[in-house]
Amino acid sequence: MKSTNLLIGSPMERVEDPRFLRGRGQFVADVNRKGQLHAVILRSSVAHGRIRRIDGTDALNLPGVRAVITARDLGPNVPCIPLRLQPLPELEPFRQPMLADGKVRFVGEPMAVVVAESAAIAEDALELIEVDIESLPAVTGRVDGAADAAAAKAEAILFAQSLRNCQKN
Amino acid sequence: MLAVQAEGEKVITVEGLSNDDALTPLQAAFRKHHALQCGFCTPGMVTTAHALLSHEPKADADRVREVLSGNLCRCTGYIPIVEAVLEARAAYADEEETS
Repeated sequence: MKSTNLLIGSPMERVEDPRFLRGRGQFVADVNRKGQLHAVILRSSVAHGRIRRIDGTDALNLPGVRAVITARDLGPNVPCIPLRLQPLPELEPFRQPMLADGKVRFVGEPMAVVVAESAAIAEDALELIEVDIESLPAVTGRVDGAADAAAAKAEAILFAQSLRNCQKN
Repeated sequence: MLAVQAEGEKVITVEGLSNDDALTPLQAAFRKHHALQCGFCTPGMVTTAHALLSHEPKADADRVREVLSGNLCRCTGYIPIVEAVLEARAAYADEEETS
């Protein structure tokens, strides 16, 4: 039996389009509340490396900066980001920490968060964070990664506790 | 563009494309063709297309793509945007004839 309705199977005009098309949309960047703070993230420039030192002292001393947060501020055990869609137990050892903890494992991995009274101050403060990273061999493929790992022993291993970079070759 | 570069020029913003609550033919074409999703790039896309069609109401698809290439859209894949702009050409051509 065929039933009719106004929605399913019919081309619908979106209710939000008029405001977007006339420049009346509101995005996060448009939010400006009293006392609002801005966070900017310092990211790794190398694919794989050991963090020898992160020093946020100068950044924190910049007027307007409220906090410089690194893995050290997250307690002795830095929480890992859970796998929400496919929480497979074999992937557990490969979860990434909320902030790089002693190591970075991809270009762009968050290493520190600066919170300041304006985005501009936070970005300026980011430049003042001193980071010393010792580059390690980068793993650029799943199979090669395993081979490299064996060849270079521990050097190319991303997660020391797993002894290898993938579960199956 | 820096504000000083617009000195002495007329500036049209996305808010200024129409004076009432109705959508212009260009804006209506965007809506019809689903040329927007999150809406973040839309003001830039619409004003850029408006500037193009105001001068070149017969612009072809390649020209539309070239002019819009300075704007990034992460939602639509661009094809609906180009389709919307191409459809809106008729309204600008009419405008040219009557003016």
